[in-house]
Amino acid sequence: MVLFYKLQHSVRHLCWFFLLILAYCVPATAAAATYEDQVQKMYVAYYGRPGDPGGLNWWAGKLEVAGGDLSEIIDSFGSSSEYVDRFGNMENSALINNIFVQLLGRDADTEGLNWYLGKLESGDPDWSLASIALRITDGVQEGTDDNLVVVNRMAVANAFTLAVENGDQSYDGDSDILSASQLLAGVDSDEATLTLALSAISGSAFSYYSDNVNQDIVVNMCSACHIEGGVAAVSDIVYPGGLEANYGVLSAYILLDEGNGAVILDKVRGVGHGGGVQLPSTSDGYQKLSTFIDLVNNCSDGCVSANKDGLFNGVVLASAEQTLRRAALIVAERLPTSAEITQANSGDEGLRTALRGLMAGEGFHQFLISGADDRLFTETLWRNGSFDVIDAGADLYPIMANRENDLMRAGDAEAYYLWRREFTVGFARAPLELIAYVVENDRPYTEILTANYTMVNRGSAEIVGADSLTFPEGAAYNTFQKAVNNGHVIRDEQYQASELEQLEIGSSIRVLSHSGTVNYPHAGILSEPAFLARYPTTETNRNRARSRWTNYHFLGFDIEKSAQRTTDPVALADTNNPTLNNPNCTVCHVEVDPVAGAFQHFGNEGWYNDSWPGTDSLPGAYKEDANSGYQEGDTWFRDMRSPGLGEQIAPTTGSSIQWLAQHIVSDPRFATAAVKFWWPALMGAAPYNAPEVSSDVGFTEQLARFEQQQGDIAALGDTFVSGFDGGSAFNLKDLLVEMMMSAWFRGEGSTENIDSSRAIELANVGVKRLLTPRELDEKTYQILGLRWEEGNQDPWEPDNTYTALSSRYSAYYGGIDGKGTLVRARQITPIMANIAEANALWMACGAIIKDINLPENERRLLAGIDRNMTPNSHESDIRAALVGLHALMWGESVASNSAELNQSYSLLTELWEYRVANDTHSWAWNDESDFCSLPDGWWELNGDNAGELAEDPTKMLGTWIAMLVFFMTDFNFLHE
Amino acid sequence: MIKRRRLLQLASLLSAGAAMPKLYAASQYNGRLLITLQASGGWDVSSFCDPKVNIPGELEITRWSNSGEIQTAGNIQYAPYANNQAFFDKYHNDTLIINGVDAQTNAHSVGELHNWSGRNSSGYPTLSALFAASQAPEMPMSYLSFGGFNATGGIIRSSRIEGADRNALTTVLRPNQVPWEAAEHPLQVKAQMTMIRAAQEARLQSIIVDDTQLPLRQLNASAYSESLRSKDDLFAFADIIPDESAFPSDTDLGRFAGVSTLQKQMMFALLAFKSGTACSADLVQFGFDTHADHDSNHEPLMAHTTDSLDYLWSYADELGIADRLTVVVASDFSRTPFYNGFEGKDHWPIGSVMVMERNAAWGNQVVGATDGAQNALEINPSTLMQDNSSGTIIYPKHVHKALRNYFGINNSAASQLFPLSNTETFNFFG
Repeated sequence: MVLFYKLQHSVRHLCWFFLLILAYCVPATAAAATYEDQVQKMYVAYYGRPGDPGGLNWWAGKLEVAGGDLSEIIDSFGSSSEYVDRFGNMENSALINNIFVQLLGRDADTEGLNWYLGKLESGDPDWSLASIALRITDGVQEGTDDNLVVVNRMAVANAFTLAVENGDQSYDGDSDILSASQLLAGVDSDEATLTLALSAISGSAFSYYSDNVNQDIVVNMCSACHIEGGVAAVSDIVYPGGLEANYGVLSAYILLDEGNGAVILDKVRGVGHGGGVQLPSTSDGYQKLSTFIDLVNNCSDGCVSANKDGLFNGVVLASAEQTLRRAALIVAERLPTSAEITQANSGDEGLRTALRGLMAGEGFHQFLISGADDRLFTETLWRNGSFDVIDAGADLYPIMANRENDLMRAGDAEAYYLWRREFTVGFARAPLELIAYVVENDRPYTEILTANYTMVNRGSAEIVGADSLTFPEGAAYNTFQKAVNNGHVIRDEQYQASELEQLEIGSSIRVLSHSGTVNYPHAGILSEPAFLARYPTTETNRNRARSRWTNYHFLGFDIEKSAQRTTDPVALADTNNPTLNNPNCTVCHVEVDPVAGAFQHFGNEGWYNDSWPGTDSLPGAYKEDANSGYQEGDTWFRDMRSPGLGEQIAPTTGSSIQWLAQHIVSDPRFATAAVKFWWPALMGAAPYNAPEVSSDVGFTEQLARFEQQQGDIAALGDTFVSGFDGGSAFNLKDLLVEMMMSAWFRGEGSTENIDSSRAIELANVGVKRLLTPRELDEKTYQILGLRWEEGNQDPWEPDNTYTALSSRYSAYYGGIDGKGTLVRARQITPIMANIAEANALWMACGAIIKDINLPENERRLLAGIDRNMTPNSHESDIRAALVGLHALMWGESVASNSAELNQSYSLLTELWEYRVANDTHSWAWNDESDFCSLPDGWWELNGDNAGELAEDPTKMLGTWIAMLVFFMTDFNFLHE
Repeated sequence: MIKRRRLLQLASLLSAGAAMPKLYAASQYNGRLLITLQASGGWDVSSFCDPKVNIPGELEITRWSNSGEIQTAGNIQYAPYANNQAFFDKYHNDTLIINGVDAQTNAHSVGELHNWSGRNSSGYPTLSALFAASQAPEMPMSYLSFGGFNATGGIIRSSRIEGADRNALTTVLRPNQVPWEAAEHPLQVKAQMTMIRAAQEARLQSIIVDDTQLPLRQLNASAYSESLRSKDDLFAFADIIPDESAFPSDTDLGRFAGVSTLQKQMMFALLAFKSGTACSADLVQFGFDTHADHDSNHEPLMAHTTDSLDYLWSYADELGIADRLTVVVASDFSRTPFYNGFEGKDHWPIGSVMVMERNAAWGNQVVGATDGAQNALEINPSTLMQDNSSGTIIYPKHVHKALRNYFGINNSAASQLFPLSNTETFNFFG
């Protein structure tokens, strides 16, 4: 860590050049590199060229044998035929001067030249030309220009030798030697000469970086955050900018620790990376980065490598019919029709068409509402929480305030609470209904943020002044229409309200006068009162929660995981506006605060321009603080960043929230965020987070699945932008179809046994996820025609939509409340198993009695069966009925003599024999050892003959009831 | 066939839990019981167990210290704030305070993650989940969660039982019983249900043993199989749920914190413990994130929290399980040692952990420390004294490691999957 710190420090405060050199000088293994470096240096000085790999290694080996004493081998090194051929005709003084030129790039000074000449011509065997070269080399002083030239030439020589070794550079004959010598001769102490020479070496790390890495990866991706002042400014890598400087930083980091190359490759794949996935391992960019790291590490065989294996190799997809059934139950809350099944079985395009066909009607609407609420949690505002923006005292909606005052004054509590529930549901569901409206009408999904309207039910329509809308009787709560908010006013000089009155039902005010309603700046979900109220703000939070969740939901960016931050209390104990000035804080706030600023006109609870005199929402304490810097006319805090998105600043004119919406939907991240937003609704689990700790069990497998998923999400997002198969851009139905066509949704089994490693990789893939309470409720209804306790009165369920599963037991069955519990249970627990059992026990008897008394062509369950058929008399008919139930209840296609069917038939006979032996009652139940719950009113409809409907002469009705319990509590009924 | 060991390992890496080797039949577990209370949002320990007084010339750190002084109960110092005095006077002998715990973050989600799972990278379970998975995983509701942070690491499933509707709960606990009948009256003949269960189990096993099945299906089948086998143990819980008139009332804490169900959470958790159907529970009290009007919002919340802890211990006494109970109270982090411009306090990474046990040998003790400005001081892991040369800042991982060791679960199969290795060991518990 100390070294890391030093590197960071160096990067920021020292010359990049040092690092560039470091990239060439830090050896793979210290001793061997030392020998090679010594030999390389002699190649440069004596021969004026880089060593060839063979020669360099051979002489390094000899040097090692000599214990590192170069003088022992220097004469042999210098007496080569090459030297004679190239320099044999030169005078001694020229030879000595040539060493100076080749090594230091300058002529020898006269005094030195003469001294060395005297030694050479003295005949002393210790003063050969080669040994003189060694002495000149050893005499170079640190910190001099001479040393800088040596360092630069060594860097080029090493890069050249590596390129030859890698086969990227030719080094075969005189012309190559001449070229290499000229390359070195062109390098001096000027860093530009070094850069030029390095870029001329084919296959060198630098040239490879220049051609493949710098612009496409470092500049276009990494430098968005890894720069001074950027989100990743306190990370280990901060790019100064410029080709050479960036190269120096990156290569130095790679060489600093042998594991750093792998760290970089993990980071770009999203592992422990605040910036998420930048380069999936299957991408070309990842391969290029991997190659570059190998080059820097002088690792020609590939020290780091990408996983190119497909995650889904060997995974068997569910059939088209199975896929359609599963999709129908999840996205349409119904079973597919025969025509849809036929279409699905006609091939992939047929399946796509059939899947697309599911996306209509009430079931699909509810899928959209539920799926959106699982992310936005606005339903909780009317179910569980306060909703200040439309609560008592919400005096900026005068229609609401005055109506409330009227109803309270009248003292009719029921009328008041019914009215209140209606409009509260209207406001709370508006963001969800907006999404549904956009999707169901095939409007571009971008409209969820750019819509210049809201959605209202009868109650909220009144409050926003949408007087022209009409609503059907009996659907007051759940019928939504488009409207513009014309009901909001401001507190200005014309605004007057009464004092708070304590009335019988509660306290209330009247708005006595006001100026006109505001031109509400609709920006889709972003300006919805429910969205604003779900993430209320405070005087110090200043819309940052709204920013955080806007980033999260619509840009796929989790700011809390985005940056490495100091937690040093000393660093954080900064009262000089740290979010603007302290780098330890700005690292996040540079992203958070501009988006927060774009919400500038919405106050703490979500009202628009709620601060006097109605031109802003700044808190009074800030405006009245003489030291705050506030100036009249300001709409945002002066001690925060300007409203905007990232580095883009919103114009001061116009609506910043609408500007933000437009910029978000134009951001490439919006599309992939949409895929992530809808992923749990279809797949039953959120997309994976990147694994963060490499020592965790299963890290490699977790990384592989994460990468695959991110890659698939990115690909889906890309096509979402342009349109699937020629379709329109941003069509969510098309996106949902493609998500359901993927192996993530359709995986059904494997051609091979799945070992532990593969099991981790394939976790959360494919079929048989646990149904949610509502999904199970609707599946039960589609098959039985009944819902558990449907219609029981519950004054808090709109339009009497109460059922036991979806309402009373939802939380016990793993549902969310949108408040404290935000993630659904995805595996069944004993309590949940009890609820599933109760659902079956309360429904089975009524369903069977009802079904057996229907005409044959109206039967859902007991096709071809009458109450006198027993295993003894009608085995084949019973088996046929069971085949039908396997298909209906479980989506299983089994033969009448299959093992699965035999198992069910065996249970049926066992149950029947038990009833024959133990049940003496004439009905299908006996009110002592069992019980029957029939649908409300059904029994009475049959008048005097009611008893006949339950007659069970052969004990088979009771048996079928028990069998239905079996079918309804089976794994395959509870999971799809 | 899927192997049990493999199943455990896989489960830990998938999205939810799976089977664990059975250690105890539910009713036979007589070991320790664990409750953690999440003071969600970031509590102000300078007004609780790490009291701070204003320093002349420095920013105001606490309002109470303008007129009050730090109080002491036994060896524990506390702030004269809310109902602290009554609480510490009564419980100081049962209480260990660990001050100066550095959550290393100011972000709520990371603070919750770090304090309750022991590290600030995702993937690890809560202490309670790990405890349940290690101690009594096949209890039908071994790990209870009432909201808040409840990561399981995939080693166990969390169950929810909150709610004021007694009839709903008893219906859930005894599904094959007509709920309005006092005498036994099943909806379906019991012998037939036994036959149905056997057939279900046979079908489930055919999935569980087939290694060509994808892991999601296999683990979900395993979870269902296990649930079917243990769900009848829930009868014991149903048997002891009192009449609704005995339920503690919800507490309205005002507009900011809303209505608290904390005491009801406590009641259900203790009843589950008593019935042998659960051994750990995560409780949660929201509302501590007081960025504005700090004291007027925070003080009643602190009072309600300590009052509720008093209720918890009293009820545990009444049920006769207080001696088996350990309670851990902590938060995302703490609040700034100064007020912002709106009378609020923002996030501060240095907080405290409170551990309670009846007549604990390690009770009546404060370990860890902060300076006057609530900066964490380095503590020697052996001596537990301040030590600037060989001490270290206390992090949540240290607290978790000490608790794992104390509970004796540090070497359990579940803990092995989530090691807290290479950290100093603080022997907080003697």
